[in-house]
Amino acid sequence: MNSRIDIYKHMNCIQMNMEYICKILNIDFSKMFIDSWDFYYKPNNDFFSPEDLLFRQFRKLKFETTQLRYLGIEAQEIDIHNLINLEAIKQYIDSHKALLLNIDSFHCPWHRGYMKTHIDHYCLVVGYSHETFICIDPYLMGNNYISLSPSQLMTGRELIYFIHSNDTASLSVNSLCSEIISDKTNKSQMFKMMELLLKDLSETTDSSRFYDYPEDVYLCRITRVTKFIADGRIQLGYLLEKLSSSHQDMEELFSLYSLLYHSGDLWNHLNSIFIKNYYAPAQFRRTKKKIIDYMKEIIEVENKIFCMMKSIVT
Amino acid sequence: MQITEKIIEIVCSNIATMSPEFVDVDADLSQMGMDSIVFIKIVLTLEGVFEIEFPDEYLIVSVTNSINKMVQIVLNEIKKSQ
Repeated sequence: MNSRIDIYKHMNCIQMNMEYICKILNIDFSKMFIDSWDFYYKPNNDFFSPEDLLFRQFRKLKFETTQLRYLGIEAQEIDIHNLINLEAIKQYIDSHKALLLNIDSFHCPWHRGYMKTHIDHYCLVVGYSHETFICIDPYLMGNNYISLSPSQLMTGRELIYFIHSNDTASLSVNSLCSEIISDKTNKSQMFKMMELLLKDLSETTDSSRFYDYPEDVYLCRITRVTKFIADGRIQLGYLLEKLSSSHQDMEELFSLYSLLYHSGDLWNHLNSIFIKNYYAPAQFRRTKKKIIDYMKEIIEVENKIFCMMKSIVT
Repeated sequence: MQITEKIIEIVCSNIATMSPEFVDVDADLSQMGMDSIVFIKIVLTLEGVFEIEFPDEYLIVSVTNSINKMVQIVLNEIKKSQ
């Protein structure tokens, strides 16, 4: 089934790299979207602060295994800081073709946040020459090769390679919905957090508070988080659409993934409004009303999504 | 200057990979480097130049992803304001 969605426009840096790795391992990458429906807001204060919106999905691949279990692969970490002999890394590249490197944007020369701010970023180490390691960053347009010196490589946080696993979970609409609404994912908590965010946003009077990196809206957490969440909704809709052909009630599923696409669009609208407000802060009073209206609509739509998933499982 | 030409000029000045001489008005701009931030910069310039307000429903890249679509929106909003 061909989706109307161009999913490559909705993938973050780790997913673009994982798609590349899945291609090498001859695996359908879309199963990694199983855990895409996410929202996490952790209010510590009685007002909105961008720091309270968290990217929970980032750095998950090493610590959580849901996505890897469904993809049928295992992550193995290479101790990047204790390798006396860099030849060992070269051997890993020879054996596995691509190693996933987690690097702080602060140390990543081609990243917009280089020497400015700390954002988790991922790229692939795919080759080496005598003195350097060759990386590609599928997230960047053009897939150009980038050289990293051994000392630059060692500024990375993690270096991971992937192998096929013997323990692959099969994925159906039911298993997907069960996984998502299971107690361990705490999705019911998500709505309380969204209500709290709505309340905190309603009480915000100073729009500069949204922008934790005032020099560059690209680097602001509110910009990245709203885009990240929007993409997550679209990813999960895409996965459900892919699975729909084998589901007994296609109409029910059509409503579900259409709602997820709709939720993604609403989050994208919110993202646009925050960006617009960055460049035109004088309109904040009107903008704030729009933000609140979108948040209310999102909560309503996502509650419906949750109920539909519950009804599919039961 | 015609509205379409002005919009082409605004779009090209915001997307480094584009040049006014080689523009396909129906091309998907998100394939040419227009992300949500570049898009909003274009929207704000269009709002300023044509003295309109971009309707909310068109305020995402996936909906307003070509020059032709921008031209239609601008023409509609100019018509509404007259």
